[in-house]
Amino acid sequence: MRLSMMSAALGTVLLATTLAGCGTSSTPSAAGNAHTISPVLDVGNFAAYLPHEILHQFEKKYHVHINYSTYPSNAELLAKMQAGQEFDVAVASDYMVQTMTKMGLLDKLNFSDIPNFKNIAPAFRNLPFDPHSVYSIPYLWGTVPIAVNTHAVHVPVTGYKSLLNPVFKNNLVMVDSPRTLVGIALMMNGHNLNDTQTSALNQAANTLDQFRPQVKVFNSNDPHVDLLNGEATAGIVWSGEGALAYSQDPWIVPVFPKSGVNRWFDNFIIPSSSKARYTAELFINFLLTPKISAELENAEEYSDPDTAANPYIQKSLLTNPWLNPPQWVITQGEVMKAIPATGNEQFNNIWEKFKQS
Amino acid sequence: MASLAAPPRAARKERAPQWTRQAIIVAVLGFLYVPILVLIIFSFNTSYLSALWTGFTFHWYRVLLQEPVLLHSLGVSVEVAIIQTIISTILGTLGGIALHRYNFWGKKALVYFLYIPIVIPEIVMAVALLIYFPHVGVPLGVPAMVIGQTTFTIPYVVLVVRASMAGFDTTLEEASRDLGASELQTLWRVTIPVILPGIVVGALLSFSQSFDDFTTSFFVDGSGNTPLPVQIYGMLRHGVNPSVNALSTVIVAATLIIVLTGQRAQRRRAQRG
Amino acid sequence: MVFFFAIPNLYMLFISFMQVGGYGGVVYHVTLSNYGLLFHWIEFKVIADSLLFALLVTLFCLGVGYPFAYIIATAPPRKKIVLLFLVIVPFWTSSLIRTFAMMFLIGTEGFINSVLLSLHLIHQPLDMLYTLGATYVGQFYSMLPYMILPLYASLQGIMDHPEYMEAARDLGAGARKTFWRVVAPLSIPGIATGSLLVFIPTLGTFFIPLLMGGGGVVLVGNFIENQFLAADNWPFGAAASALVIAITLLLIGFGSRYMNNAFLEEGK
Repeated sequence: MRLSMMSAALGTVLLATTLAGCGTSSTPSAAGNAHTISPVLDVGNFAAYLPHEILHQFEKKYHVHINYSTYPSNAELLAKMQAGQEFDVAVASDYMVQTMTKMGLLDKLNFSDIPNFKNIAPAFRNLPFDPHSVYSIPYLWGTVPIAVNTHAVHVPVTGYKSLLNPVFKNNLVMVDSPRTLVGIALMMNGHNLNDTQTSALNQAANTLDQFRPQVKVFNSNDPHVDLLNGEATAGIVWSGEGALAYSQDPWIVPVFPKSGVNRWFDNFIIPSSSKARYTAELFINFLLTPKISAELENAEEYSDPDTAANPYIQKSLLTNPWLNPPQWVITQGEVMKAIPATGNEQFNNIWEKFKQS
Repeated sequence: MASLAAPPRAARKERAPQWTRQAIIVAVLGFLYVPILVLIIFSFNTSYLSALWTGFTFHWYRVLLQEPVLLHSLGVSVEVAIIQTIISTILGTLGGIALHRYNFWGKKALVYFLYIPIVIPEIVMAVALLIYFPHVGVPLGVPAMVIGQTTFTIPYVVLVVRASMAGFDTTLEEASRDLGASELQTLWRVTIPVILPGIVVGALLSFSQSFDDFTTSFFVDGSGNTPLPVQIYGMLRHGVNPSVNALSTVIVAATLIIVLTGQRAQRRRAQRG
Repeated sequence: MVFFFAIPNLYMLFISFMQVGGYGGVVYHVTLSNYGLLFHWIEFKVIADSLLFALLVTLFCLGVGYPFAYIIATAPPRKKIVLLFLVIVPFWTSSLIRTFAMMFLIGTEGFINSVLLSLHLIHQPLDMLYTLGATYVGQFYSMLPYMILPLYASLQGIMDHPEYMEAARDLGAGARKTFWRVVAPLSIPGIATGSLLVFIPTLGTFFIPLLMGGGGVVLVGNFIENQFLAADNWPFGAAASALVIAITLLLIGFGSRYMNNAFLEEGK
């Protein structure tokens, strides 16, 4: 009895999902044609990543109402998009842009509507995850260097291995990100950040394990607080977080290890479900105007690929070592690419084991 | 709040020694309140990121006022919490009474079933709802948050109402029926007044669960409807700073006022009755 | 109601038998492998750790909450209002904020360390935040009112019927005996309710271990969250949830039988 009810229920669910599947697949690629401005624009972004004044300026200038929603991670953006939430324009990180491209979730950008693309420096075009700059335009970029509180620590830190020094025992903060940290372990062994070969990953897992006793806290959200609060004297953190710590306490400085630094990009994308493509392109173009772009960087303290904005950027940011890494990092820093799910699973397994050991 | 009848003589006589009682009260309340009080005091501290007192300031409150989004989020949270508390209190109370009073086929299965939504880690329920809502046409935003939260607040109300029905004297209902009252009148005039403390506790639980809800809202909040906890989490991402202390202080103060007003109203009614 | 909890959950169960797609997402091929994976030691450890964590937190809450609820229920009216009020206020205060308050209190440069250092009671700040102990404290702190309120509701119900206790006294039972033989058994529904209200959310907790444990404390809620949000392996996360649901339903089956027995006894 119970079994038959269960299978009946499962059957209903199956039917529902199949129907829904048909629904989404038959949705025609949204219109949003010609050069008409839509009255409403659905914008998605990472949480607390865009000052509201900038949105208001856009709303006033084009008489558009912006529905702004945020997500904490790329994975959740993907989940929300797959669940049918419609964004007219959104922001996604490097490897996710490529994943979404492969899944057919993105539309090509119409660059004739985004003339301010010219402000993007050549070093930030044609990036590995979008090699011909077709689907994405970088919004902000950064690195993941080592952070050291040089006031609290007096041992030289030159590379990742320096962090194995006993003075750092139970004293490091690390971002909680498998792709980033397993990627660093890969680079330490001379492999590529995106390597998914089992032998390379096993070696990386062993390298990573040595660091476990050193780590006090895994924190992707606000590692700068742990650096400032004295919970950690060193760590591996997002450059923007380091910059924030530096602006409060200039003893907290970055070290860019020669064995390899991860360079990341957050990018504008237009999902294929967008109903207001032209308005979305206007929005991207608006954010790329030098003054607005500078306002953004001044507020968010990440690095800006829009070099035309430099004259308007606060001096303290232009001299912040976290936001202005040496040239070799910009040209040689390794960038993440999409990796297949099986590889992703291995990254995650290594990371989970590492955290719990 | 619960009925405040004078304590029975028997209970008064058998009280534990006075000093043990006082010690327990001080310890428990101290544990509950010291963190919050420290947080409040340091929202007036001039120093950024420090637990050393450096001077008094209202600066962090001014910072707060420059964030109109917070006010908007507060409105969203209150709206969702009120709507869903009304729904879950009504359905949960009826459910609790029915479960206590009637025996029917599959009752046990139903009780188990009621627990499912609170058993599931909220995150799982949230993701399940997120992928399910578009299939049935529920838009992300206030309706999705109300439905999502109601799924796990109803069982709380049912649990508490059932517990308060446990001490309920069924002869009262029989008497009412014998006197010619209809089923509905009995429910409204007899059953509900008696178990009112349980219902109020259930409603409180439900409201606070909703107002406090982070996980479900986080997933199904949709565009332009960010509730307060999600907004606070976003602020924390940008760094724990005294303006978060200030915000917390404002919320604690508001909570205090609401609970006090509720208590007052309750007491006045009790006096009149 | 069936529509909004049964179907999403069945859908979840359904997903737990599916495979993960090439770049994440769900591919509709039936498999049992997700359940097999759960029995790897690391996943198993996560589940065992979480059960122990939830059990201990529940016991702590009961140990502290019961005497306190009893004190409220037997207090004079005026004091009772004040005490109840004082329990309800933190209960209404966002648990995110209360967790944050706790972090501020026990951090390396937090309030306690600052006070102790300035009094020269210690010379090195104590490591309190980002430990397993901190996770326990945080969870206990956030759950305690959930134990006190139902216990109070149940004890108040008993105190409203002094005839039970008077009868016991008339039969010659002392205060202690009256408590253990009359009050405690009658309050079992309250204990069961309070314990469930604490145990269940604790089993699925995820932001308290994240904030107080510093990410190194991984409970099943964190594990599931990670499968959905970071690892993008929904089927595996769904399988883990299904297992948690099964375990908890078993526990509840036991608990609710206990509750019903208590109801029956009272009915007599």
